[in-house]
Amino acid sequence: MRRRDLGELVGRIVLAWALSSAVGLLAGRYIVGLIIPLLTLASDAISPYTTLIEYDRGVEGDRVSITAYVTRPIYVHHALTLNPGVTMTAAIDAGHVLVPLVILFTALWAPPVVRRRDRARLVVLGLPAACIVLCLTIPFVLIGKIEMMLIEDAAKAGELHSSLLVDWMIFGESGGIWLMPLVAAVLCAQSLPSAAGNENRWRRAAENSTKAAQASAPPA
Amino acid sequence: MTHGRLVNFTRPIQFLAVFIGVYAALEAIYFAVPDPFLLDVVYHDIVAASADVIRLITPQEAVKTIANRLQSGGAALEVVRGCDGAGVMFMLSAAMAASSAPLWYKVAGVLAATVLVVVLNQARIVTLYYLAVYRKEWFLPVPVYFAPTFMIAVSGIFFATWAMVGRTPARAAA
Repeated sequence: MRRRDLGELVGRIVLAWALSSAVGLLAGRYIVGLIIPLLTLASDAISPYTTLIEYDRGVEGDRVSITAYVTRPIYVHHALTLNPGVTMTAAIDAGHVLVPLVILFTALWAPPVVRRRDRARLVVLGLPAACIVLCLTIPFVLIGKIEMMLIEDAAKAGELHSSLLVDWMIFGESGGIWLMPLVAAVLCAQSLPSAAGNENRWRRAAENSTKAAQASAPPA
Repeated sequence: MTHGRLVNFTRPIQFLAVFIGVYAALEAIYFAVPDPFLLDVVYHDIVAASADVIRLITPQEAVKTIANRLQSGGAALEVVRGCDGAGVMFMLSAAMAASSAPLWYKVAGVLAATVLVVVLNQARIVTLYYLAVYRKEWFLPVPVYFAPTFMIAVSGIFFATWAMVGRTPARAAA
């Protein structure tokens, strides 16, 4: 083990975590504001509702809320069907939205890179990765909260329902929201030409093309 | 001099596949554990240990524990499923299981990770208690925003250390 390598890695993780957390704390409201249209698109796609996601600043702190508009009848239980026009709301703490982003960008800053350019590539790759991770987590938490209200209502009426959407939300809330950015970061790092394994692949490709060029060259 | 490697990361996609598989399996087992066992046994032990730490730091705090609940005149906290550090523990265990290292080194890593996560989680609960009593404005941002990302960052450092210590020097070249 090279102690210096480990020291540098620890330093990068600590610094990246502190910086990402500080950016989230100071500029979180603007970041969340930027990604709200994306979250709205995703929540419309995964749910049977038309949704409106907003950033609220209230006495309970900064929150991201969802208003779900029922556009077609939704069966809840034998005594309740939601008719078009009904609205339901749920909210989460705004900090919750930033957690996968802090983890993703901390993880993207952690691995050693061969060239400085690779670090910039990782951060740029992190932007679409962040969008994918956010779409796979936050809309499910918001819609999942609404779905859970309906499932609980149905359970009180004696009907047991399950929902894949709620199952995914529970997976996310019990650790998936941390796992997904870490997996995304590994995939981003792996897509670099200098990543472990890739260098050999690139070297072999270069050797093969050299051999092919030599084979096709006319004899001197 | 060459370096022997206990931990090898030459196959990252295979690593990811095993990592996700083991993590999902551990989560499935965790959700199969009945609530009463977690609340009355595991979480009771967690809050009892937190109460002991609080009494040690501030003997004037009259904290008491009821099942999974830690309470005093100033605050009441409940440890529920998901507040036990299990997610971080499963992640570390899955990452170690997915690494190509000798079994004894993986088992030692998981045991050390368990100690780390238990200590981190106790520190988190004790901190939350003091925030609930003395700094209510920080009570929400800490568990929602800072604590999870901090635990992941510390776990990342722990895993990196485990992986790099696994690189043993001084294996004579043939």
